[in-house]
Amino acid sequence: MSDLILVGVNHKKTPVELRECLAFGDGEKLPFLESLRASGRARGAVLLSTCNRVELYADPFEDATAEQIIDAVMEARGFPKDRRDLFYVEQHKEAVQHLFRVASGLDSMILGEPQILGQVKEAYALARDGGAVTTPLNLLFQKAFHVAKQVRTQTGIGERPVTISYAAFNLAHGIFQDLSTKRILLLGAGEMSRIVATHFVESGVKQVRVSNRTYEHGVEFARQFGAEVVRWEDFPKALIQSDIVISSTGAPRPIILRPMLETVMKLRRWASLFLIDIAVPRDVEEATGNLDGVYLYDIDDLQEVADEGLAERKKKATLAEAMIASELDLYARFLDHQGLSEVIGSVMGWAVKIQDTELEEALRKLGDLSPKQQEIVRNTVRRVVHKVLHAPITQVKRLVLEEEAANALHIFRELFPLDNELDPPGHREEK
Amino acid sequence: MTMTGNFALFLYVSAMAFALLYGGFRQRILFVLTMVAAGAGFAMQTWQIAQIWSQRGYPPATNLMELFQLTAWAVLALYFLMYPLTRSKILVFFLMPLVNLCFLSGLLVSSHEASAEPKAFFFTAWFAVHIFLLVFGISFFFVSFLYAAIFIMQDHSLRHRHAPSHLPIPSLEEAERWSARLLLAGYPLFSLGMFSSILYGVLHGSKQNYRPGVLEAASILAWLILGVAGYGWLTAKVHPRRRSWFVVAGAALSVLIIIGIIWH
Repeated sequence: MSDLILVGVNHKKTPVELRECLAFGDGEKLPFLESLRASGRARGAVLLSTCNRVELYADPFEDATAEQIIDAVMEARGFPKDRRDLFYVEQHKEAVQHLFRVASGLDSMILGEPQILGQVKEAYALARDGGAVTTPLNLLFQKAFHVAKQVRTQTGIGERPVTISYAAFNLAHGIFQDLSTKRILLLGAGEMSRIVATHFVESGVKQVRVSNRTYEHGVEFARQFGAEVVRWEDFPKALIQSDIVISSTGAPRPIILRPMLETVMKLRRWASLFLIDIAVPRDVEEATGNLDGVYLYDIDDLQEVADEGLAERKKKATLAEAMIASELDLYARFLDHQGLSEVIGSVMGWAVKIQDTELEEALRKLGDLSPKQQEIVRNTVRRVVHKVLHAPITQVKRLVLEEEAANALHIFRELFPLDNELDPPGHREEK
Repeated sequence: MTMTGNFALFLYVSAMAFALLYGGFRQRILFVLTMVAAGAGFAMQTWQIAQIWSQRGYPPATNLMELFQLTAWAVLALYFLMYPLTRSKILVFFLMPLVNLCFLSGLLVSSHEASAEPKAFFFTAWFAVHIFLLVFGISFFFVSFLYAAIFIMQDHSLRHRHAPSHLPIPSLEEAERWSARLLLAGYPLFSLGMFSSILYGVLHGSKQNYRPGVLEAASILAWLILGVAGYGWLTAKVHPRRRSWFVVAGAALSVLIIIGIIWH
């Protein structure tokens, strides 16, 4: 496995106030990567900085250590030196496994959440555009994206909702085909209501209206969503033109009663109405949930959906871990093949160098040969060299495929004086 | 059944197996395999229909077996036409069993009914128009029924507070929209198809194409039920769930008619 070093902090061990100190802004990432490379600690690196983690995946120089890379991160952010213990370090196979788990959402605060893959991709793209991605890092991240996609599609880990806002959003998808054309009405200006509404707005819902008992609070709240404000006394009329209603008022008794909704539904011509009641005490009379076309969910219903989703995700995470282990093994073998290609290339280069030296010497001794005769001699010697090397190369390839890669490559290297007599890059070009 | 027909059946059964696996595992490759097998089966069956038509000089729809198999073909043709608009992959999970049911029902009744003797009516353009209007009308009803059933499933799931993701079926809105569109498009086709043969009989002073009986009365009843569902959609006076139940009831009655025919 490669000499990859990962250093980082995440939500599991590091409180948010310290994660904030370490978080890199968009404009700070590339200069940091450049300085890291200039300092001689890493050939290349990818910096992943999200609200839940700051991780640096580095392709280090031979003499660089994880401690030095942690120092670089801490210095760059002015992180308290006495909190060095918060950093975790993974190397080689463990670092690769960690990245696969992160990209697949298995290491996320919300198990299986999909946003992290996009964030990893952004981090990679930024480093690549800044010239900080070396070949091993490129291979690693491409593989991580592939693994994350496989995990997501084959286990379906992200399908079930695990938060109340996502549960509401997911249920809305069961009712409406295209949420971007739907209209939301927010009753009350509670925090929970804001969170749920934000989820909808971020997902493309454009038409939001707010109705609050205190008009001024409603105006202030509406500003966050670029929403229209409806006077409290007009909200029953607004129900007729709304598709999704999120209610979180502090009213002591229900404000949406069955007779009111019966009239509303007739006027709506029975178009589906999704009612999300996250107020305690509840804002919507329970009996309205039996009306045709009304889909009513209170906070407990949403929590139940979220809990079911979490249990399902945990089951799927077990399968995902097994997939990652298998992919890790494949990746290790792939890297071994990469090593094999290098070794075979070097051996061929070494053989070609001897072949060319000896050929020139022989042709010089043979004296006046016609071009055709020279060609015959050259081709004969080349064929001999290739035939002699064919058997050991075939054998070492077979051994690598049979998972004896390390031993096979070691013996192969020992058999040929690669390190002493060759300058591999030059000879590869020659070859 | 001809060799081509057997081959088409084999491909349809394979497509159904892939479609059911797709419903369970939702791997894209399974959907692709479903489409390839169904497409190949469809091509085979089209070839078979064309061959028989050219040999006989009239469409192969003069007995129940042929009608069932032609309906299977039309349902599949409708799905292929609809797919660019709906992009509904999961529909194959419901559709392929229906296609196979139609095809196999044809085989089931084949031993009960000999091919009809060629009549003058078969060789007229009236017959071809009558058959294709009828068969496509029925196929529209069948796919409308699938969407209505999906609506009821989705409604049930939402009312029982489950996140609708075990089987990624279309949303209520999508299911309702397509069920309505197909019913409203199929209804005139089916009605025209049904009455074209009566009209032919009236115009040519022959009653041989219209024999009133229990089955015919049941067909009219199914036609009326579907008509009520269509009316509900057009006027939006009936809630979508009830409209969907009307469609399901109409389809159920059609199935009962088919069972009655086979039993008879």
